[in-house]
Amino acid sequence: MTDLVGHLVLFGGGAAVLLMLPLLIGKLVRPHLPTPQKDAIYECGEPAIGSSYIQFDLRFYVVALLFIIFDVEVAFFFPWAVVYGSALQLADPRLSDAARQELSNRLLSEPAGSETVISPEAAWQLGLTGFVDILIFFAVLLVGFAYVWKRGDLDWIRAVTRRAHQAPDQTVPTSGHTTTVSTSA
Amino acid sequence: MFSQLIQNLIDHTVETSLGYFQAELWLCGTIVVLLLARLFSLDRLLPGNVLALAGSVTAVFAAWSQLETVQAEPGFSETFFTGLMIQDLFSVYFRLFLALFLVLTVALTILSGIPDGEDAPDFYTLLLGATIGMMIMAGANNLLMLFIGVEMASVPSYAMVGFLKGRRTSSEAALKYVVYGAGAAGVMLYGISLIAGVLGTGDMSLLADRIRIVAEGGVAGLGDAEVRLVVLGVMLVLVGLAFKLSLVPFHFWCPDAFEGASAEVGGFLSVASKAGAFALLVRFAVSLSGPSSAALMSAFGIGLGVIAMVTMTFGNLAAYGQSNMKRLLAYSTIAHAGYMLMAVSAMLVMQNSPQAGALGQEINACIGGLLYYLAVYLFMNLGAFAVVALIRNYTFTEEISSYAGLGRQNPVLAVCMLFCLVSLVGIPPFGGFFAKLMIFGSVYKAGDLHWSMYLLLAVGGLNTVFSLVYYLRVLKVMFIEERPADSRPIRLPSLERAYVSLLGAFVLLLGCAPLLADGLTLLAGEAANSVFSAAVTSR
Repeated sequence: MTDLVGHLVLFGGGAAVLLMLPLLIGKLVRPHLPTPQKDAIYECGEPAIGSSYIQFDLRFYVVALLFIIFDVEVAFFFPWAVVYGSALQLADPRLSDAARQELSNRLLSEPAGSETVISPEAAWQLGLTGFVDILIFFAVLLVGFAYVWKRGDLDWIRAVTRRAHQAPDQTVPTSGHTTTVSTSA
Repeated sequence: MFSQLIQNLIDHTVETSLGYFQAELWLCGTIVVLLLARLFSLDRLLPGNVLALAGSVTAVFAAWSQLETVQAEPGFSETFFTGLMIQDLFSVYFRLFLALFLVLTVALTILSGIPDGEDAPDFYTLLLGATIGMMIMAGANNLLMLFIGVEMASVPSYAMVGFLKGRRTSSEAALKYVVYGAGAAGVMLYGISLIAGVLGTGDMSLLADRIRIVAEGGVAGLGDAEVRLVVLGVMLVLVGLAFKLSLVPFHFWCPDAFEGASAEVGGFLSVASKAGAFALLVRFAVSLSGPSSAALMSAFGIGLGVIAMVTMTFGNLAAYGQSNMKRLLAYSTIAHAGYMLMAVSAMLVMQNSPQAGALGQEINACIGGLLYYLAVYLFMNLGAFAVVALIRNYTFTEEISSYAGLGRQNPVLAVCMLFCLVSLVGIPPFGGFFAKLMIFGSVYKAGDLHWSMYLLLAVGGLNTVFSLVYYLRVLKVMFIEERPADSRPIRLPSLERAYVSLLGAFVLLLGCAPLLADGLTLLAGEAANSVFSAAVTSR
């Protein structure tokens, strides 16, 4: 019981300190220049008070979609992490027999009192396989992320950025234009 | 013991499963390379379409080598990825079919230039991803893989339909397709949960056996509450598959999606997603058929026959009033889904009759006919869509009236269209005739077992006559009407002419070159055999 309370106190205290510390640093460091925009209630870039029948900026949807894709893929990490964590614990040869038995039962979803024990070597192999698997999975995920970034889907002011990029060569008509002109002529 | 288990799993995955999955892996690798090439701006050196073509050709070779090894061992059937997927001649046939079709589609997009260099990696990622999904559909051995395969094929398809950005019809088509597809997927998932919940397994090779255990007295009847739940689940799964096949109560998305999508995407969806869905339907139906569920499955077969009748009649009648070529072809694909469904219906009626043991050859012929039909359908439907796409590049329209006088101005295109459309009707000596003949023959044999199959045959025959009219209307416009003087001339580069000629030649050769047709029939028959042998050995 005291063990649990101790953990709770430590966790709560750690959370409070880590929350207060950045706020305190911010308070000491930031300049004090209030403007009406800064004092307004913040609600994701939209006016917080007024009619709710407004058209949201389309860019929110793009970001939300990208977020959901990566969020769902990261959800695949959770079941993996549970098995991988148990496997790494079991791979430690210094683990006591009782603890090993309990972890094995949990990993194999067997009832307490079951006799099957996972050896450190087998657990190590499982952990290693799982690690290689997740590396491949994560690498593919990262390629997708880098692609989205490179395409500019993460730029908030994308339209403006693109116009700035294209500004120098605006005199050259795009290939689509030339074909239409030549065929209709 | 546990270490043995893990060792076996790793060994089996590395040595067997990944090898069986290599065609799909090549495509996965191509997708990653496509994205990386764009990432490091290598796409000027290595354009996306070249990479996609190289990847799909590699997949064809991988599938081809699998076909040779599997064909060398008759009756070969093995599950892999811990029983989630199955490797037999049937799945390899579809893998090769889809990979080959992918090559042809990529070649068509290169010729017609529909995704420009800027969008090429996106488009080919979607195209290859959808094909992987369809390959998984063809090899699924578990209800969960069935669902994942259908979704993996559907989600990229939605995006591909809406790929022509900034066009109102395209966005509308994509939205309709997404909403309809999401609904169908939800219904199908509910059906899967019912089946898996009652039968206690998602493994498709165990389903028939489990029905026997669940059913009271070993014979599944509707008086049994648990059997009723399974039947409900099967019907809900069929809703999802009917959506992919655009069978009649679930076909509403098809004309709109095809009209909004570019013709290349329309051609891909009409052939590939239909092939994947038919593979799944056959596997699902075979896995449910067993001695104890015979009466039920035979009723399902007759039910599918009724759906087939309604589907082809509706598709053919609705095609009459169309003035847009892509809409006409969309209704034609609905009608053809009906013809192909006849084969599955006849197969179920025969396999679940008391005389099933003596009818082995005929049951095989049903699925053999279906596979042959799909192979011919690939060439004739893709050919028709390719001609539509190539003409669009010159005239910027897909109205049938704009095809006036093409027969004289561009005979190669017009003759290819003639081959494809006449083969779609099913007139000898084109491939479509023999495909239809094989399916009609199977339905005729099934007529001995249930009178409704004769009715199905009669409706199928009548529909063939109906369909003649609207296909011929297009040909009349092309060959008899004069080309308006102010219309744009269509001069195809020789590469494009070679492409459509190749497709047209295959449509003709599959009908009148005995060597090619016989080889394909034999292969289709062997592939059909492997589905049933797998079902028998697992029992």
